[in-house]
Amino acid sequence: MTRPEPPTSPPGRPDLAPASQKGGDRGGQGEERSLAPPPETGAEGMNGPRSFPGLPRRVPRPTGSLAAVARKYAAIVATAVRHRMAYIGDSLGRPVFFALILFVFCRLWQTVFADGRAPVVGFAARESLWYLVMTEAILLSAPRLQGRIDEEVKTGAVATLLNKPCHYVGYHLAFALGEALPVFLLNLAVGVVTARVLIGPLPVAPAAVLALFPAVTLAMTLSVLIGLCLALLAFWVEDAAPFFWVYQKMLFILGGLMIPLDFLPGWLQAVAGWLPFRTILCGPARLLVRFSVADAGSLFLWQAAWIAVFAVVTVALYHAGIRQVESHGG
Amino acid sequence: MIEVEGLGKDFLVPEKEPGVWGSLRALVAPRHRPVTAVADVTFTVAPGELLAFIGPNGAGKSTTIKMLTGILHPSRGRARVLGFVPWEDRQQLSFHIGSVFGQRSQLWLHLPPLDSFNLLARMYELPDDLYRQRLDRLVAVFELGDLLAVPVRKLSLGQRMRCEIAAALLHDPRVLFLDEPTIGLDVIAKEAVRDLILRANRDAGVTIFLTSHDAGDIEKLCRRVIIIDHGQVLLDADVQSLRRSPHFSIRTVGARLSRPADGFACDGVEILKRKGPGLKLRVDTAATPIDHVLQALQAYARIEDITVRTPSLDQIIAHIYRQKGLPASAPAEPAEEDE
Repeated sequence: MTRPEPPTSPPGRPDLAPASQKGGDRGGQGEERSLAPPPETGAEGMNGPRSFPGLPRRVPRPTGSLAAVARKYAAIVATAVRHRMAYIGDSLGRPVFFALILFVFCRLWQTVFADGRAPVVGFAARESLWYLVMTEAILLSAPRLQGRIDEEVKTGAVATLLNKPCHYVGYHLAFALGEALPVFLLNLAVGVVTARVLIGPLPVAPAAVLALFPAVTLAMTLSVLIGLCLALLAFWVEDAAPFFWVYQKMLFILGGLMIPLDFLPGWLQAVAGWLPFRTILCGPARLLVRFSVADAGSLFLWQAAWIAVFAVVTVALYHAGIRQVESHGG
Repeated sequence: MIEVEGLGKDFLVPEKEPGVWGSLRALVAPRHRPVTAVADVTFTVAPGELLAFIGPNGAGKSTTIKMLTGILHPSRGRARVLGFVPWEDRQQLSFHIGSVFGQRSQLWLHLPPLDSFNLLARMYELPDDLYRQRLDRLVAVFELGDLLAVPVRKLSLGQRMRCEIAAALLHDPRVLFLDEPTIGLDVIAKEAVRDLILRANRDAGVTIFLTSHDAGDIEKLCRRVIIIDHGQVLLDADVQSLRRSPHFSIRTVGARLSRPADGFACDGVEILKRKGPGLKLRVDTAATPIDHVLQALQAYARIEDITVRTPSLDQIIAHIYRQKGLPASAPAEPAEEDE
């Protein structure tokens, strides 16, 4: 099938000469101009010599292979890291706030455990403060998804992502994780230095350090997914901020932000045990101060399970949200 | 390349009464009013065309683009872009189309354009060597060398738009959807962006689907224009034929004569202004040939200077809008052109 000459193309332009335009056009735009069933859009059909002079053509076409998809999302993470680093100065307020919190809690725990009072379920002042280092480092690193998605939905900017070859939820998950990474490292550094100065070092088993990496990564992933779920409510409500407010308070209490869940009454510990919040804050922080292989294994399983649940919920909400855009306009 | 048949889209727009009671009612029993954004649109776009798709605000331009890029499902009708059904094959189609939304950036504001280009290359799965070659060429053509390391938020609107179009061309799309690409640009930046659009079309053979409120974009870039309103095609015409259409046979004649023009009169001519030897006339050339007017002027006095003006494209479009009962102020006002 010969592709018709583009009407606006000036004649005789050598770089538009249809050497490879001839034949093999299975892209659906032939002389027939039919609305026939979709053709096989093979590489041939998608590639004619249309370039600025000297502009190389795209051959081969995208593969959609697992490796290519992995590279795509890794690139999103890397871009998000750079994006966050570009204005890391804006985040410096958080470490200062963090150091202040640690100072206050250091004094608090030192008072609570003064006069040689016995540790509570294995936590003395030192363990309690180092626990707080980890929970706060995770909490303060969470990107503010609500404002971003809210704005995308309200301004219609969601369209600029929807017509890109990546999944909307996958993009935001990767971008948020990338943004969280440098802030987490900064917070952790500030926390470690401050805690060492205030209360001294904490002996940590090498296995605990190894376990912390996946534990924190999974905790961040779950935190971002829950954040995405709430942010996607912007498709239906004018302001999703109240939902975030409630979530944060739940995270503070049932996630064990300030104190380990071990300090809570038994019935509340049981309730918290069945909720995802503890796997975001308490779980990883507990590994730091009271590591055990069994706890680590259990934590990873719970984190994976909650990630699966919230991934499904997030994707379902996203599709429902897109249908909302479909029926109510962008 | 693009085939659209009876495409339509209806939305349900929420309605809320004012006040607290209205808010409560909307919460408990939300009410929606159906609104037709696009009623029934049919057209085709051939490979290599540079088409202007224009209409007043709310005419359905953006909704049509969103359907053609797969962002929205239509309520009715059919469409194919490059053989793909956009809303069913959005991901696959996205590898072969590009889009630029004049009021929404696809670049990462806090990062230099190069970072955005690198990420887009990964998103579109461009092989590294091909990406490098294409980037080098686009940087040369779009003169982006000095901009690559500057954060996007620090770029002027014109510079940003050059980067946006380069980003949209990076993955070698066959069709480029441009939604008001020159909005807010100054005259120089507009010219630069128009030149790049033209080069993308003529030199790279990219089919371009352009929406704009700027008649200059249409006049300088497009051979064909589709005017829509209320989601219906009002006019699908060649830009030149539009300009020369018998419906737009009005000419404005300005003349400076050798003596006061007080006594000048001519059948079929409306005198718009008369001041000393100066005269401004409105002539419908379909009814009164222009040479008849010239003869009458010469018979009255010696002509020292004369201009004959055709309606600008903007005025033509405004005239079409008025004929259809639309707000005529939709297009911007360009300078008139001498014939």
